[in-house]
Amino acid sequence: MRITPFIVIGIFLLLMLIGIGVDEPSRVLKLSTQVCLACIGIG
Amino acid sequence: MGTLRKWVQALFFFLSNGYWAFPFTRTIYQGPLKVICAPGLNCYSCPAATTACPIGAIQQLLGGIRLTLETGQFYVGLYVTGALGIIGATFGRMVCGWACPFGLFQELLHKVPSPKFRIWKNLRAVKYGLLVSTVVLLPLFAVNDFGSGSPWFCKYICPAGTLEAGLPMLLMQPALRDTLGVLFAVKAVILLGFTVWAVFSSRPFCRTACPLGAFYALFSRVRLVQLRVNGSRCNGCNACAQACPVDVNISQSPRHPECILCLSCMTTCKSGAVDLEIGGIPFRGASVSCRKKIGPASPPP
Repeated sequence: MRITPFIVIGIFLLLMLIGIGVDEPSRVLKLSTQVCLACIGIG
Repeated sequence: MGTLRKWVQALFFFLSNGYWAFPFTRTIYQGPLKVICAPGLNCYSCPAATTACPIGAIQQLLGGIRLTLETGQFYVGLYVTGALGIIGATFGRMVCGWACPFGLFQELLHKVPSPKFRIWKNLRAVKYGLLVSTVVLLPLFAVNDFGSGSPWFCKYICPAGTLEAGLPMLLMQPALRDTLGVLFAVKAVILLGFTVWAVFSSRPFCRTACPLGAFYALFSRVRLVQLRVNGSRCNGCNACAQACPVDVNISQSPRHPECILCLSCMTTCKSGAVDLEIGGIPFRGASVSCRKKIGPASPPP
């Protein structure tokens, strides 16, 4: 049984939870529901 | 195993691109699922996309970091990095082989009958440079007068965005065609280049230019799911190396950062020397089912 992957997963899980705690998913949702034409090379 | 992988790839393609009402609504999906980061490279401006592209999201967050911090919002990419890190530390580049729609696109192109060529190994390093420069440093530091950075990789390079978002948007909204300029022409040439290259070489974008693949590759030594080569069973026939779509000799380097865990080596190995392990525990079911199809294992030399 290797423990390292679980430690790394735990660290990133912590990062994700902090991100959720500061309401970053709402920003991601807002960004991903808008078409950014400049971002895909149009306009 | 190859058939199972194709089904999984198709499943992830449709899960990531499941909004088929777009020809009628003429816009992209705007529902709550877009808060989820897709594991593979899948442009969220694609009309059918149901999830967010993690590479696009991280660039947008880093590009807007000054503005959001000034307004007291701590949007620095922790949620996206955390989600990507969990996927990376669990599966690593297995995502490239099993769940990436753009990887599937390249695999299908590579089935076109043609002479096949290997990719120069030094080109592998380019994707790490693109990850650091166009995904992190340039969005963060190359800012305009308002302190806002651009998503450099999406804007100037990403062929997946051109294919999945740029071209469909031009088809759906003809008025946009008048706004096309040099930038879109450059991106179209990049897409065309990788498309043609994928016919002749296996997964050229994944291996040379994908920043998401580069990020997942960082976990190759610590990820939960690993390949394991049993030295006492390996007879050195190199069948695994010849079957590998990304030119890795798995018998010498089972934790190679380029390995996409497609398991072609495990299926090909007649002596059953290649096994899958999860968290250090051998997962023998997969290799046993492969050997049942290809016949009994040869005795070790």
